[in-house]
Amino acid sequence: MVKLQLVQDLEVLQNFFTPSSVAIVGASNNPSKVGYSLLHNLLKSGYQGKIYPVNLKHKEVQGLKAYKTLSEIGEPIDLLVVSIPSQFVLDLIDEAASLEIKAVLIISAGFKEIGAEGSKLEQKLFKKIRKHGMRVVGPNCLGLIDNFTPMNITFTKSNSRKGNLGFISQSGALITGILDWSIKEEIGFSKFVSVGNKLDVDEVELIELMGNDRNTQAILLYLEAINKGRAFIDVCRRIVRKKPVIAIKSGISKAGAKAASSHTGAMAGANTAYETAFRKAGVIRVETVEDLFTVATTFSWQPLPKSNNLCIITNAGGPGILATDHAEFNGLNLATLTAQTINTLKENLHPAAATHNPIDVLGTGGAKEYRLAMELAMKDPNVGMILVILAPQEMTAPEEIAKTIIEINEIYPSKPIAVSFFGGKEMEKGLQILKSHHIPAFPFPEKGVVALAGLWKYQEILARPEFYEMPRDFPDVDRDTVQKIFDAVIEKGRVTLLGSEAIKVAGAYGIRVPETATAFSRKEAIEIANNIGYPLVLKITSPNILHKTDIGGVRIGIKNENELLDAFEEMMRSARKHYPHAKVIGVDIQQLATPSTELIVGVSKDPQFGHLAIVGTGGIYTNVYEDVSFGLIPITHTEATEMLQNTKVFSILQGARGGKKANIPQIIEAVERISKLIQDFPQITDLDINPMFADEIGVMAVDVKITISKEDHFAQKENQEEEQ
Amino acid sequence: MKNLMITSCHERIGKSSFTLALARRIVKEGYKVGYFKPIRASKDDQDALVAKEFLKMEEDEDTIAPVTISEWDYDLSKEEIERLIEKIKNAYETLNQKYEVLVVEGCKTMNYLATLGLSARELAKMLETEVLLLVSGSNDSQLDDLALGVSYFNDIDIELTGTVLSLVPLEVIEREKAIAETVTREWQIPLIGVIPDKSNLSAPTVEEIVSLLGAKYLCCEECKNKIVEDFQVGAMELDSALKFFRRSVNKAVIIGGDRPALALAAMETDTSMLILTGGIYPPSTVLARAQERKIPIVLVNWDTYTTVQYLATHKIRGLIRPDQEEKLIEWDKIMEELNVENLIARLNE
Repeated sequence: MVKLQLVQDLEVLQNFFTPSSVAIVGASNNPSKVGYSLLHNLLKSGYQGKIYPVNLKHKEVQGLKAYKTLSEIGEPIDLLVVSIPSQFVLDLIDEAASLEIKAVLIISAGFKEIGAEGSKLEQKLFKKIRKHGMRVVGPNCLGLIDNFTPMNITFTKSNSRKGNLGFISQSGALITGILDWSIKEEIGFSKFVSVGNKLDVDEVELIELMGNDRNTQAILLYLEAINKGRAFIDVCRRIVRKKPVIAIKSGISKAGAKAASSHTGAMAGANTAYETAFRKAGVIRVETVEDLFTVATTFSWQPLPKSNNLCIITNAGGPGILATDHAEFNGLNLATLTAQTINTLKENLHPAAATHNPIDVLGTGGAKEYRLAMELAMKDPNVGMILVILAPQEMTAPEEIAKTIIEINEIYPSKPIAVSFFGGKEMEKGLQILKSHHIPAFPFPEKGVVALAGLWKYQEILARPEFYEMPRDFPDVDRDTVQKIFDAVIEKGRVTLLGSEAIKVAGAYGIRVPETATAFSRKEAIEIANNIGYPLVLKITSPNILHKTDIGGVRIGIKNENELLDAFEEMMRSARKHYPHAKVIGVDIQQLATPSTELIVGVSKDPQFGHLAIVGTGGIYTNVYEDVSFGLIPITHTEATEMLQNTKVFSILQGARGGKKANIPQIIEAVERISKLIQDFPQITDLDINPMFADEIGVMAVDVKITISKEDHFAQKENQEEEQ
Repeated sequence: MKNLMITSCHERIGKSSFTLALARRIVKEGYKVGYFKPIRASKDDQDALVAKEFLKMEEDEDTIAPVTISEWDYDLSKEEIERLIEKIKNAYETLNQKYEVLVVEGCKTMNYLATLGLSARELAKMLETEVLLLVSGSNDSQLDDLALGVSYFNDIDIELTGTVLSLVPLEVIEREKAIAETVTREWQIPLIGVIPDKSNLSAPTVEEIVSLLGAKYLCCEECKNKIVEDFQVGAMELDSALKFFRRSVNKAVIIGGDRPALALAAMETDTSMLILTGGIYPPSTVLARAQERKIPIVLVNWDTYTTVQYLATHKIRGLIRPDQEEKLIEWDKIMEELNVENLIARLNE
């Protein structure tokens, strides 16, 4: 049943791009109206299906018979396009429903982007389309294009070229600009969608659709905020095995986030969350709009590389060094050429030429020298990709060298190549020739590196083991204990766990913790201390005091009863002084763990993508060192391993400078166990184990903080009951 | 059936809400219950009006709460006091005839107006009511107040009918109960029960905060009955905002109107209302999001600091009101745990 629904949904989505008939409500004869451009562009695009303009006042619109209402058309309508003031849209939807129209493109603005009133209207609209089982693109969007249908229902001035790139954009204005630019740059599109407010159809479904579209070879995204982060990751992970998904995300700086939140009304989201999510999803992230196309076109023109070992061939030192820098920034290696390559170069090039990578054929080098170097690089097994740089010199003959490059590319089609013809007017023609032969070519060398690095990133994504790996299961975990603790916490009207409760949760999931108990009076403190045995740690217990250390709420290394009682009293006094209104319940008494390397393992729930885990340098200076790496839960063994390897503290754990080697598999397992905990109890919104001591024996979670969400807690309980 | 006066050793320990919840509980037992507040400290005291609505009393406010004596009225003459007593007696008589049992709420604390001979114990004696003493159980030492209360009433030959511990932290409720049981057994005062310190029992509503601050609704006024259990100030870096906001539920977040990103972060968490300060309107998109999440946004002209200060000095405790389903259910649960049958039996003795 569910599957059937999905198929039907995809069929309806198809109606947006290959409709047999289109009705445009609000179609106009007045060139200053959006409704004019929509019909004008549709007619101009060569659309072969039936077009029904709907206009109350006119009998004819742009030469076509116009209808007063939808009902008057009397023929089936595959796609309804709406361009009327927002207050009339709801009634129109009812009429459309009565005519069994399933696909609606709402261009009209005046919804949630204008504030509370618009938001109310949009919510009503949502209820209506759900009730009628309709699918909607928009509202507040620029429209969509399918160049294979062909069909252009947008109100842009520019046309677009037919090509193999699919583009999904959250910004309408960006589309207008890109279309104009793409014509100049000869970049073509298969499908182009402006998603607007994303009331219903959003990037998730469109990626699925374009992923299965034969005419689309790469999918490009401009994103401001993602609503369904999990679904986004899932769909991308499936689709990127077939074709690359390349994205640019705006609003990632602090000021940018502020601008984005004012603009879209959604939290822009932390940059790290997006970075981690894109990595998990296998999405290639770029920094600039231009790079989006640089990378995308390279995919359709050049093969994927076998390695990230780059060979640079240049006729000038400076640009070669620049390219080398950028190669490193973009995760590429400079290839070590084989002896044979080097020797052959030495024998044939000018004695002053550099024969190690970057190969410098010198300003005197012409087509002959470039051919030699390129051929050798193509044959060299140590070279995965080639960047050719030509700077204007006396001997430079751009067009001739361009032709040589094209020839070499044809002879050796399985190694990718990119070109920088460094310059302006003189280089223009050469660049033109190269591009027309599908060789990525740019005025500046950095872009060439970006193009090749994009190919390598995709190659890496395809080869990732964790794409095919399930997170490990740990059958020894004690779910019941954790469930009971969470139930009790919620029952007590709290969402934060006491230290002793949080320690128990970590312990229940197989993470080693020191023995801990809570004392409510001095008498109890002495009894517990005697049971655990000195030396001890004393921590104040209060749901209101978050940073215990800052107010003297933690005492480490208490050796006897006298010290215990002194610390008890001092702690209470300090708490009263700093937090006169805090509920101080008692003290946690904890076995003293042997200090060793301090790590942090944490989780925080991102509103868009769900639980983001961190591992790295712990202790009180965690925020100063900022040595952490991120992963999205669920975390597989490979991911947990990579996360740890990506931290600086990893080398200390491995025994840097003669230190003892820590039990690394245990640390990795702790990360995986926390991932399991979060999967079982998604109501945890924040979790911090800091510090977690790591030594040669294993790990010990000394201090644990957990916050849960009341709403998610009840949801989890409901799910669990359903499962049972 | 005898009437019952409810008084306490301290202010702001939930006496009014408890009194109403108790009245509601006795109604459930099938009695016709009335409310009486002989003296109030200010005309602004809403207790009588709320009780009137709660118990569907037909009498006017002047009968339910006949006398107002504030902190600035300690120079009343003997004659004036006599006249006030007369007024109290008359009102009491009217109510007493009509209802099977009256819950009589003392003003402020048990010894408020002792100087004028009008504190809770004198009124209890005069009106011949039983007395229930509410004591804070927020920590062990608060029980000392019970000792004081017992002797304060014993002094004029009144024996307490029972005592209730309120504001007991849930984490230590069993332990606190055990200590209280030992003590009350020794002093021979029935322990009617223990009320946990749950913020949702006494939380004010959005509307109560709005009227306290004189704030203006920017959206979602229809959600004005949401309860506010906590206050948070949004003044942090965006990175740590979510973590901070998540540590509190059903909260009001006080935030500069010029920080839309923080406002959005707060709305991602369990937030009852946003109080925007500085008189700065947020971008329309923030209002749209609030509408989606049904979170009222209100605007004040004060800066954030002044707003926080004002809220801190006016520690607002919300009453239970007939239209607050959620809070009523919570109180009903608490009353089930209390030994009300025992209390009623004593009133019937």
